[in-house]
Amino acid sequence: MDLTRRLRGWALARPRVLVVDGAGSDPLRWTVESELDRRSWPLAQSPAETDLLLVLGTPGSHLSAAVDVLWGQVPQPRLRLDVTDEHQIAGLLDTAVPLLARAAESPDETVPQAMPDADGSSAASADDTAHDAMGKERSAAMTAAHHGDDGMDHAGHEGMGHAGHAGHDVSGHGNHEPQNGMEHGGMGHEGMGHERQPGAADAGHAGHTSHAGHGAGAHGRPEVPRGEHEGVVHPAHEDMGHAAHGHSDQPGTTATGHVADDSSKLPTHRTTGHDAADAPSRRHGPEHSEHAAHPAGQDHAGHSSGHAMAHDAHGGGGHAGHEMHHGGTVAGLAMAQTGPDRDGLQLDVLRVSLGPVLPGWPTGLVLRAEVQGDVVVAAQLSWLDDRRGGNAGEPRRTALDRLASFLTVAGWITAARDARRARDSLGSPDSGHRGEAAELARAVARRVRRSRSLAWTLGGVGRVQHGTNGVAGDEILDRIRRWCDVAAGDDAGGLTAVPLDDVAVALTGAELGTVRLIVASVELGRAAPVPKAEATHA
Amino acid sequence: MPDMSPPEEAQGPAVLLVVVVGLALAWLVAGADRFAVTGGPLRSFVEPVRSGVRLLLEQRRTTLAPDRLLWRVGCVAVPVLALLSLAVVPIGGQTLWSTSADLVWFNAMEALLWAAVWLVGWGPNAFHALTGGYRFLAQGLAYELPLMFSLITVGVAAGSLRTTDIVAAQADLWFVVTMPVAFVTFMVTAAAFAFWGPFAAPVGPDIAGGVRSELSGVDRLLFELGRAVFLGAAAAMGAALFLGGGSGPWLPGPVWHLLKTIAVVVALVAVGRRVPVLRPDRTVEVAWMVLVPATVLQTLVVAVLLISGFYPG
Amino acid sequence: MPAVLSLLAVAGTLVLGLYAASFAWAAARRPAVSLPFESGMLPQQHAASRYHARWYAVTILFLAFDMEMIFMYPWAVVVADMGAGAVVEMFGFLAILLVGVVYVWREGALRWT
Repeated sequence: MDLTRRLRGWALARPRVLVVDGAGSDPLRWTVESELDRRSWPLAQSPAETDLLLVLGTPGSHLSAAVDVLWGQVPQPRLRLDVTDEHQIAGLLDTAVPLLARAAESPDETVPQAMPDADGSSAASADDTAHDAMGKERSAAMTAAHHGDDGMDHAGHEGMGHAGHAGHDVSGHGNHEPQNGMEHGGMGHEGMGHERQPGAADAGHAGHTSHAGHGAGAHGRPEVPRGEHEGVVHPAHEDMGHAAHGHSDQPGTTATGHVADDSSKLPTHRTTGHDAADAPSRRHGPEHSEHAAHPAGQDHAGHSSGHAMAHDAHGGGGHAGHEMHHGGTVAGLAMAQTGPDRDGLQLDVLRVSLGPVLPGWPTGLVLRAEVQGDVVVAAQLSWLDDRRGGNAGEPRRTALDRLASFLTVAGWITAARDARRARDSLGSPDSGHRGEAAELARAVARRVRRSRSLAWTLGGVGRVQHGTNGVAGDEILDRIRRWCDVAAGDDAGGLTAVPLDDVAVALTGAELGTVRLIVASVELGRAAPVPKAEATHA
Repeated sequence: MPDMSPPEEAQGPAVLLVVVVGLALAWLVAGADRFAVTGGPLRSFVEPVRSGVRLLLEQRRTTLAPDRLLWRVGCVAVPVLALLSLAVVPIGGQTLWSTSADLVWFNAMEALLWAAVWLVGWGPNAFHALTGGYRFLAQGLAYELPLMFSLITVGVAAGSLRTTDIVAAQADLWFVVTMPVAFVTFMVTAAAFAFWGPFAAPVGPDIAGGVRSELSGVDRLLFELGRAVFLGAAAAMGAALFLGGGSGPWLPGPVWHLLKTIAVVVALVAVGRRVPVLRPDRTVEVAWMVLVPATVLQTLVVAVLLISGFYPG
Repeated sequence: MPAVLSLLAVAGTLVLGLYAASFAWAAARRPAVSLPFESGMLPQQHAASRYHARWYAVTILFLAFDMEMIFMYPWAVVVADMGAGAVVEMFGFLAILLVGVVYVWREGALRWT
């Protein structure tokens, strides 16, 4: 038994980490990434390969919702840690491995039954931890509460996970399975247990807490009237739907006129969700508009018609209230629509979101795209929440950071690693380190600049026109090379930000990989949200 | 040429040996790759084992309305095909299965990989995975022909498609000397079929891990394992087909073959990790306009050498 | 043939063994049910759609070549016996196919974005 335990600990000793950084936490992210590199803990590309979810800073409400969705997609054993203070990072990461190992020991099947028990006993241990930590610092307390909750079991998180889909599952995917129902029950329960924990009520937990509530609600549990949560839960619901389905009030919706138009009229906030027929569908005429509106509508049917109704909604097999829907829904999710292709054919158009959490892209950036195959036919960029104030200041380190992100997207892991290293050491207090880092920065910049394979694979793509003065615009390579200059210290100038709309224009018609690279190669404008009226008319 | 496969009674251990060698090759590839990415020689060879154990610990996943059967078939097929391709790779001077068409078998396993990888991408009903699956098909269209031409070049020179014959035909001169283009092409296409290094677009970070973006637990383990076995098998096959297999002075044949295989893996990793991932829509053009004509010319050169009596036997 | 069948069996056993080990040891036996990853957003539509593979022209080109390759394997074995005639015939045929490749390339079918 001891042997297997040790083997578990050994196996989980280098967890793969998914980092989600809240607005303005760039310096924190750099410290975290340098610590992860030092420990050679790999960065995860998707929740499926994540062991440890690190949430940095305080994510806004939309990002919190996204984090909860992601968390629900992480397989067990898993651990979520919130980091707000860079001095805590090393200690926190040290605790991650034993906590993960503990998480691996308690299979989730036992959780629903064991719930009250586990809740009581482990909450106590969580208390202890919280107690110890609270003496030190607020963030420590928060984190410790997280520990407790995670070490205790995963039901809560499982719950959140499902909550993440709950909106979707509403039309009956899998909810008819009894064990699922049980699981959901467990979740709701755990959700509450979680909220009761000391320290969890801390402000930093708001997103988290509200989500637990969401989980409980969306699965059709009778709402437990608890004043303090009423206020939290409902906004969370709104946010979820909102986050998932169009952002009329987000900056950058003007990307391409018709997209903005369309999405601004999606019934993102409708309580009934079925009066969508008046949403003008861009391409398919009125009879298809219901399709376009469907996912949003469906979510909100479940959410807003009262939680006890949620089961009815799936009882209806996904067609409840969708009389105008011609078989477009399978397992609660719409099928792709068709639209004209550039070759003049009618082909499937799939709506996807890229971001807010995608490797190499700044967290919080969302690209709402329509794709035909791997070609993006309509694109719309926006920021979730307010992402202003993200820059750490020093242009050289910022350039190296952007370069590292770009190289990550380009799949050049060794160069990305060196760029990160240079970035991290440039901030070191030791001047010797800084000298080495400057050398490394120059070496990386030279390598990227001179790479023929990069020049060949990226040559001639990604022209972004910006400004209204008719500037010809530059290509991916031009922008990358400018970053290289700044990174090498040859160019002291900062990076010019490009408004999201200008970037979005360049994305339409590009292949998906190119789209990813274009966005990663641009210093994106983080302007304040455009007033709604303007957004729809641009 | 006599059938060089082991006698019936020795086949039990031989089969196990092939599987063990396959796993060892996968470990070698994964360790070398890890070393190129993070450094730390010793640790790099521990990490693949650790990752494997961790994936065994990890919960599996399913998604909304997945194609469960095909998804599962794909995940299982990747390592199984990789191990099957090893049946015709000489281990200790003999192959597990010796036929008159060993090269075709090796090629066929790689061709079946098209289906397997695409299924892994199709199964989870997820955008990134699906995109990765189709990227792999596009990549297959580009690299299949150069791979076949380089294999055929070897067959022409040896006058046989049997791996052991080909190794024997290199007793005097390694084929890499007269067919460098075929050798390089073989290694490049092998990397492309293992969607590794610069050809990792089907599992690229730009599509969040692509084909494997929804895989976790043992499913992911099988997928990654199969990929590493494929690359290792290709390195061992490359060493046998172009670098004379077990031929060499002083040391016993199997040791030579092992050393050559390690050298090929190291070279592959050293070169492959030096460049970014190449976009498939660019590489398809190059594959057809450069690699295909180049390998055809290579075959022509070898055929002319053959009928002029350059190759003995 | 029995050798390769037994290899298939052993490989299958290995796979089954890994599944069994995972079943016995994994943190949770039941697979996690989750929506596919869409960067933290909920998917709006099923990804399994009619995917527009823009490189379809390449598939036709590939088929033409691939059929030819099937004949090239046996050719490789007999070319030494057949002599120069076989070489001329095969490469004459390949040259024609390569002209086709050049044509397709000029038509722009090898680039699709």
